[in-house]
Amino acid sequence: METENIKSANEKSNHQPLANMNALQSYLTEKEEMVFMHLLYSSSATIRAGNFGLSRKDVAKILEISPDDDDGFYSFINRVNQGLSRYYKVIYDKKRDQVIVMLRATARMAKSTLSSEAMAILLLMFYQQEVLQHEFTLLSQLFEAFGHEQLKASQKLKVNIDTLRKIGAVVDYHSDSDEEAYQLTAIGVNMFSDSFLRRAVEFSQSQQFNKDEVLKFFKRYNVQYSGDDSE
Amino acid sequence: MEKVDQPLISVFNQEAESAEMYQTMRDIVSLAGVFSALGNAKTFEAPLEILVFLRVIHFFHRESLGLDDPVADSDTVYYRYLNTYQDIEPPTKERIERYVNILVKYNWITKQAKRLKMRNTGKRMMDALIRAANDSLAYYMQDDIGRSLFQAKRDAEISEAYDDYGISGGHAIASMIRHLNDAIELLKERELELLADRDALPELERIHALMDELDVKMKERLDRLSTVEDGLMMRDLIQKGTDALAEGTSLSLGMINKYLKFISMQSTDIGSSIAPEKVRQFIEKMFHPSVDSDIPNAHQILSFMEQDVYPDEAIDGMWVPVKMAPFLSGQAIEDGIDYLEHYEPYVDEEITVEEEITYQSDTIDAMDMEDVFSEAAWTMTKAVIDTEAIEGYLEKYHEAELEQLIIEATTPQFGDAIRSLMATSALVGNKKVEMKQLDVTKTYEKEWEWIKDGDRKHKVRQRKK
Repeated sequence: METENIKSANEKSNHQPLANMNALQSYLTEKEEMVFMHLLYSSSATIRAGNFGLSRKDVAKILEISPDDDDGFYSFINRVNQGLSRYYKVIYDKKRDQVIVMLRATARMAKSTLSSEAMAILLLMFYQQEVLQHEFTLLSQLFEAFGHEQLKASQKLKVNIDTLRKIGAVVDYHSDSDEEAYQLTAIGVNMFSDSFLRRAVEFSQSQQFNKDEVLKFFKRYNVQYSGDDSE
Repeated sequence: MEKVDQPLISVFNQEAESAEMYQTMRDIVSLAGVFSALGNAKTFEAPLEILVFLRVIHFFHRESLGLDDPVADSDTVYYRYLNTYQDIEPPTKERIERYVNILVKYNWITKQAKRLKMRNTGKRMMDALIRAANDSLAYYMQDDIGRSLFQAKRDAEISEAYDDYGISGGHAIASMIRHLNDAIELLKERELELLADRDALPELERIHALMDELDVKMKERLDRLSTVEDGLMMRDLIQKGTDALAEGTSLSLGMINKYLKFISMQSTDIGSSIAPEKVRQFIEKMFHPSVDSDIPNAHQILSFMEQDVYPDEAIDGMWVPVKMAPFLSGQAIEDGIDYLEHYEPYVDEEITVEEEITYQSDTIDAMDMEDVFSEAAWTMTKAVIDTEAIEGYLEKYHEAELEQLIIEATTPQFGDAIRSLMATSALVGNKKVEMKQLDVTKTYEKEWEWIKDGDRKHKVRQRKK
């Protein structure tokens, strides 16, 4: 089976994914490898509570490059992502200055990470902030969208938002008004898989769509880390 | 219908000491007797032996209905068995003979010179047995969700067959509702699993068909019940039944709807423009879609992705921040031990700021020396004895009787009286106030008494400066 399926490099990486892990050595320098390991370790929410990941400065320090060296920094992220894109994704949250590693969960596992309500809340924020480019989402907007039909809606919303906050997907947005508002972090922006977004769009339009079309809609053409260049 | 107000016939509300009950129970005993003769550890291990027995009584059954020729003896049964069933290992002649003897022993059949004849008891017992076996068979031919639904429907039918004719079929209605609820529970549990299965449609349809059938049957039964005046208990049951039905049908309908939508989507053209408004509406609905709608919630979408219709869709569920349990480093353990060993509870330490002592030189006349020293002595006295209350009081009223001063400046308590007296004497000693013996008029409620009543006859007055 293995010999039959190895046809192109692409397919090879699909069928021998773990071999890729080993191959990582060949396109990362020793220092870069070390950074990746640091990232894996520090991305664990249990280590650093809410504040996971490394800052760009820390990464640069281990890489022994200057903190302003864009080329070196992004080339590192790019190469890790190319090698491991099936399992891991290194992202850089510019606003919060965090480099973190995210892990891919299968559709089955994903069901046990977040409740379906929390996912709906995250998706709405994602839609507002990525597609419509709003800077934040008000609690009252969420309440209006979801809360009208349910008992104890407010409590339910709060509980789910709290979960999202705990995994670092959203943060409180501090504005001048005293309205409660939330903003997606780079984690929140990257949580939905392309496949999930595609299915959600298809269900909403009752029609099939190309993945490219969907990604364009969610402004994901070059997401990896340049998502929040707006500042 | 005319006899609806007659109680149903049921062994549970019949007088126990009656001839009919004896007969009835004897029937059951004979049933049990036959089974205990058959059933032993061996048959439990090889339940198909019972099948042979059922086949044997089936021959007698057919014979009694005139479908087969009369049975002469156990040999007839044996050969008839060989002709009818092609078992790989057919029962021996002896075994058939044993079965026949058991039936004879428990009076299901009688042995006559040239014929084995079925008795009435035997017929009814055989009927019951064969029905029970067939029911079980139909039950096990369903999958587990189907089973509960099937049982619910069966209960409805039993209720129809028995209750309507004045014979109790057991608590068929309650049992029916119970089975329906079981099915709903199971269906909810399995929902995500079913949606994740590419070939689940036939099963979903079957469940839905069963649900529909049940819906018709149950409604019929419940309607009929509601015409019977049977107290609150029934009304409660009917309410429960209708609720469960509504939930069950909308649940199975919703699953079919979602599944069909998912399938039908696969045959649509590839779209070219996404309407944002629709996306927003969809997201709003998927927070809490109604059960029977075709809108899936987030978990259901993930289930559909598990079908892996688009390549690699199943592994592309979601990206989550890495969360691995970190190992404990030796350093961390040491730190922890150190912390425990040298733990000091946190106390709110009083912050003491040492005051700088500043000295200043001052030149004064020798004449004023005494005043300055007495001032210093007074300041020190004041630091030891609290004179404030007394001073304040006299500042206000200038003059007061001793007792009045002590009590009004502070409280009628003994401790305060001591303190006030000390303060007063300090004041007198430092020539701040003067005290004169005078008759007094006022008396107060207090916790203490003067030892000599004359001691209170004093007036205190502030000295004029």
